[in-house]
Amino acid sequence: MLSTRRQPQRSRPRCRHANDTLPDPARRSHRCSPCPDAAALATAHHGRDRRRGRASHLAPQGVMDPPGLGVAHDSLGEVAPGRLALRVGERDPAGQRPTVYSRRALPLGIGLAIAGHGKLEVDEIGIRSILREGQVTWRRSSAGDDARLVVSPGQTYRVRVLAKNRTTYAAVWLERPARELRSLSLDASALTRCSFRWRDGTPPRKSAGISLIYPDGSQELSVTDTTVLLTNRRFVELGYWSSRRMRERRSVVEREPRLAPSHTALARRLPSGRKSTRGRRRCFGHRLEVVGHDARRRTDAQGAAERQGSQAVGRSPASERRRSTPATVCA
Amino acid sequence: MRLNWWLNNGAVGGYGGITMPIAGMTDDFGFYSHPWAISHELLHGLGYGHGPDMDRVDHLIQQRFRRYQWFVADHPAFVPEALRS
Repeated sequence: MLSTRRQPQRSRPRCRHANDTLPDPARRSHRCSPCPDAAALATAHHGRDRRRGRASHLAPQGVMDPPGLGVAHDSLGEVAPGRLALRVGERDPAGQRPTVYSRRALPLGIGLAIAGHGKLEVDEIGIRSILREGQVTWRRSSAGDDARLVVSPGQTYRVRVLAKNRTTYAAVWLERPARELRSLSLDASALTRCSFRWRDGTPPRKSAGISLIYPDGSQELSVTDTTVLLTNRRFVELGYWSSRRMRERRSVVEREPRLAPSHTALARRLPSGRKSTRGRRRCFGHRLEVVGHDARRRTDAQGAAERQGSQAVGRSPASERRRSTPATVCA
Repeated sequence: MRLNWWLNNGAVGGYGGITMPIAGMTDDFGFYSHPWAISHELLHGLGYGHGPDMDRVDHLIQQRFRRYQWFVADHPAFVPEALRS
């Protein structure tokens, strides 16, 4: 339940940030002038705060994620109308109660830069605070591509980013301090690179796609010969579909748990995909393969070789071949 | 505790064990989902009757399931135990 109870009026002049749930010691020293950004945001608090009699103001367009995450919406012009401002709670230093006392508004980095792949367009960002459940999610929509994130300086946030450009998709989970949320960038060596190909003998497909199910979201990929997925997650649920002609019903292969290709040996022990006839057509005759190029593993191996120095010269050809051969997971 | 699956839609739990609808096992292959009402019936099997105490424990169980999902979300390198060598 959400609380909309307002704080009673006081006789003395109030700070215009009185709706902030600052801890009492901090509130006493709180001044208006250093934190103008906070004043531009209406805050939303979880109903637990009712017991403490704090003010709760629910923004008209505000969104309430699972308990404890406050989402704020601009009401005074700091953010243009129709654009979303998120406010992420953090832990009260004095206890376990989630509180919100962010003061700085940062423009959210609506872009993900991966070295070697350029800047990707972000489709979805999920931001978590210290709470064990839930996240605040921003999705790209026609309403606007801009968003402002109100965070607490010094706090570290867990961020999930789903992004893409023409042929490259990325799904990454990061933990970054507030100051780095302004622009998100990654080194490709920290990610597993997956590409996709049809098994030999598969009839030609007009269109195909992949559904990736993550514990905190999902992603749809359009599959072509050049589609690449970059991710740092090792375990996903994967399903795929295809159709041979336009307007044909999709042949769907039921999703199942799957490991990123760097765990090839493990993944091959999994049973082959369960077939469904959800599209009224059986899915016999085609199989999709996920081909992985685990840059992280190669980097580790190279680093180990460098550390061993001259001993690496005597590496066997077989180990060289293993290192350079991409892993394949049969779906 | 004995666990039976049947073709009926309802679920039953008691001291003799629990009986669950088989559709709850076969209709959802989501890794983070579990058969409907299984924790509720399991508590019946452990001697809980309907009431605030049972609701509280059931809530804790559901919370534990949710937190496991968010734990996995927080650890991208996570691999389920069954898939580890």
